[in-house]
Amino acid sequence: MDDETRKSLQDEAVDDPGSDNPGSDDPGSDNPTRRRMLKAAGATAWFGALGYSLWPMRKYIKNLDQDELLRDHYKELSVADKKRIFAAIEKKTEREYGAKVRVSDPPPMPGVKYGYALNLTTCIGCRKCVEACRVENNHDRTDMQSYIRVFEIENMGLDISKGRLDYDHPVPVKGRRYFPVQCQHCDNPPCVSVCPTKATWKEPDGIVAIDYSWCIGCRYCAAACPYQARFFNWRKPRIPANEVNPDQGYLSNRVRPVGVMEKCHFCLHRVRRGKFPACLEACPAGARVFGNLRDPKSEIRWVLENRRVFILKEEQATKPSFFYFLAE
Amino acid sequence: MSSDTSSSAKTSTAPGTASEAGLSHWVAYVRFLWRSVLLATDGTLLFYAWMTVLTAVAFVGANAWAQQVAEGMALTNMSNQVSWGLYIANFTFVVGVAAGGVMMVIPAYLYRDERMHAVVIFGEMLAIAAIIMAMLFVTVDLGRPDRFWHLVPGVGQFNFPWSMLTWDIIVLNIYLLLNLHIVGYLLYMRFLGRAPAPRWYVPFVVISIAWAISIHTVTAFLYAGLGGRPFWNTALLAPRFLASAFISGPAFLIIALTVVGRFTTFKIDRRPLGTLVSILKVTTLLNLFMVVSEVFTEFYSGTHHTASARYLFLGLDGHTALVPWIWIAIGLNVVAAALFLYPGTLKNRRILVSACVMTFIGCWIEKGMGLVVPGFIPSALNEIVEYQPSVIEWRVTAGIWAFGLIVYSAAIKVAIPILTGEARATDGDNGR
Amino acid sequence: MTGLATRALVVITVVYPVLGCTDNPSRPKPVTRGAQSGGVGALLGKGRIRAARPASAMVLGLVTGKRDGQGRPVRVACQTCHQKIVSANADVYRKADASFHANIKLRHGRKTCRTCHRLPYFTDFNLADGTPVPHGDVKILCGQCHARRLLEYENGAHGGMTGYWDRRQGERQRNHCLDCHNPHSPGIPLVRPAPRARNRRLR
Repeated sequence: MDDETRKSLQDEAVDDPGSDNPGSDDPGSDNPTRRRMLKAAGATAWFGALGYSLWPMRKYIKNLDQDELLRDHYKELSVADKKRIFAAIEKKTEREYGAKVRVSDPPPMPGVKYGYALNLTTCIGCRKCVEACRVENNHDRTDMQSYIRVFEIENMGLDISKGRLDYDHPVPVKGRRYFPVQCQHCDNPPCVSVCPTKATWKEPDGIVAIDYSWCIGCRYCAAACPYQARFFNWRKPRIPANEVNPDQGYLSNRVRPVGVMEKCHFCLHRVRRGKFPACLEACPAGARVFGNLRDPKSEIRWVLENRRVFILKEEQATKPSFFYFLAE
Repeated sequence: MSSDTSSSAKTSTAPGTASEAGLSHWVAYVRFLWRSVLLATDGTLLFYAWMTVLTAVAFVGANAWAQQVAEGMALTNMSNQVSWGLYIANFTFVVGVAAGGVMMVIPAYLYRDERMHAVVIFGEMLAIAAIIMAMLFVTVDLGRPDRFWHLVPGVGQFNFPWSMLTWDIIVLNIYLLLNLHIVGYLLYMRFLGRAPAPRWYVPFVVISIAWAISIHTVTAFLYAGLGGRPFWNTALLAPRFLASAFISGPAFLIIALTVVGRFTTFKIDRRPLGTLVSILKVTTLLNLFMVVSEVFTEFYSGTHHTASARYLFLGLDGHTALVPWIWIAIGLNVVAAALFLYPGTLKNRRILVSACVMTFIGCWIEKGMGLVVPGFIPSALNEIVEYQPSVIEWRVTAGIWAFGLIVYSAAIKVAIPILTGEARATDGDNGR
Repeated sequence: MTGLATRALVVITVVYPVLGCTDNPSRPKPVTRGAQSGGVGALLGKGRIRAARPASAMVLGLVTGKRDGQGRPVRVACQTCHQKIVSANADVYRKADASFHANIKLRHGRKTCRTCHRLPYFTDFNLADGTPVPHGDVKILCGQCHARRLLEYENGAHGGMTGYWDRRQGERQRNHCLDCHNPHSPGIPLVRPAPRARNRRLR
């Protein structure tokens, strides 16, 4: 350092009235007791202010019960644990939503892998599936949440990138096609690999499930999903008591807690009891085909073997269990 | 902190003040920490005013976060389409600052530039403060902060090695420990008035250099690995992150050292500053070069995958929320790069600091709002949902920045008297 | 919704009496719940469509547009006229159409009544080659032209259904051609779509 600079730097330091001796490490330089008392008062005020600023959180903390806070990962739960937890959830739902519900957890069936196919020729874009999903899966009614979005696209080509989701005119419009998209239940799901807490995984029957009691809400899976199929509970779902679907699955349509991810689960609580998913039953056009991919006589297998089938975003190598086809 | 104490405890076999006085390093180190607390909470009126203002801002942030936790993330302006916003943008940027803070170490230790040693500690402390900020930014972004323990290996379910987020958690924590150890050890030794034993810090310094690169690489891989987001899915992302890390870290250090020089007796040589500016000369240009490469690839090919870049730079279908952000960032970075190239800049501290401020803000936008948000716009299904942070988000962000500055100010407040030799272990500290 | 309701009304009150339908014989026959009494039970509720066996054309008939004292639509059984009118030449058809068949708009390619309807009562059908088709087997009639659709239907890839995908566990109800398509005007009528899932930030 040349002298000039050093001088100027020192001058600056001296000129500054605020910079007295910051290195004074002796806390009792002027008046030890007064200083110490001031420090104590400062510390008290500091903690007071901290408490005051965090005060709004008390509502959240009050709502947390110990069982929920320390609840284990789904795969670690014993039968007895599940029984206890389901009862707790039923009680909580009744307390918070005023609806009597039954929470269950049907196991995957052996020899079953679900597949879903959608006939783009017959879909008329009526969004009955969107509505049925909302009703079946206890979605937030204010945001009109649903796991299904329907794109309206031009008939030429099957490019959803120019599609519209917000159409509200009578359908079907001539020369347009309707393209519903929901979770594709990939065999190579990017959302599962990125989850830091294993809160989402692939079940033996192909369903990509989420443990709502384990998800920490980091939303990495939402960033990873190429199908925009994952949704976050930005607030507690608002559902009128008479609209709560009482048939609830622990991994599927139970009322979700705030701050966790959710997604289409092929109506796990229905399909594992042999029933069709709600969106299929609602489809007035019969555009949806659901079944067991491992059963060679199933309808879904007939579609895969006899129709021109394609998958969405094939280049992503996600290997979806959801297929689209055009009637011939 | 355990690593500091244990490693320093092992040195107690060597002759030293503490052991001579029959005092174990365990006790001496605790005394050193207590002394540090006293140093950090004691100062001039200006220091108190500064810390009070920062604390007030931090509490405003804490309050905003408490509201957000109570009401749900609905208080933010994020959406299912833009699922990460200002928080993760800041996270990405401060990880870069943390990595860049250690850039001082490379000339100091790899090229044996003795004069850099004095300022190395400031870089390491910056890294500590920035890592703490990064962790806070992730925490406030969580929908369920009460379930944070699910991420703890062994207790929760740690999806290692599949999830890049688990890698990030590991590298950030280890980086924090490394820097805590190095800073703690060096200051402790100075405090005792002994020469630090190279074997207790040089290996860690070398590791921390590699680690600095790893934290930002892993953070880039968080994004670059997502095939569904073409804007991020580029091999250039990690190099770009490193380039901006090596801008923001040194730039912040120049600003910090200038402020320190102005308000304390601690004066820095011009030589380390010169080294930092040389780093900045290269990295600002490198960063701009890589931005240009990205822009060319995106715009010349013009495929579907370039929609995000078009949205960011030009706007898409009339949606232009991010266009002013990115052009401000590019403007700031270009001007700063030009200033760093101008030889007179080093002589004029005012110009130097303004260039640093410009490029710091420029990188903050470019690696934050300009990188995280456009990755989501248009969404994976080509919906355009725009994003501008909500008031709550701004408050929380300001609060975390204030907290980071509190940590950094306190660390500097402790370090300076120890480095200048004003604070030394007295007889009382060495055992009675 | 109104479009769908109208269509359902047309199907229930007009189509069923005139045409018949049964289920696909190659698959186990679904049991329809709440629809045993006839076409009246074929309700379109909660977005679901339950397949119903058509009522006998004797019970129901053509809607006249008038209502009785209790507000129920007044129907005229097909046989009322078709027992007498043996041949439907164009003039007779047109006159009859003005008064009785106002609800039937034939918009189905280049077809006439006789393409499908069989003399003398018009309640049974014939294929294009004249082979009689029993009242319930109307899908064979449709399949003459729409063979690929029929193939898809028979393999479960066309047409709405409810119930169980796993037939070991429960029954399945399947729609029939006429649940969705009006044979006289098979183009899909316009419906007002249900509300979409809204974005949190896009109102």
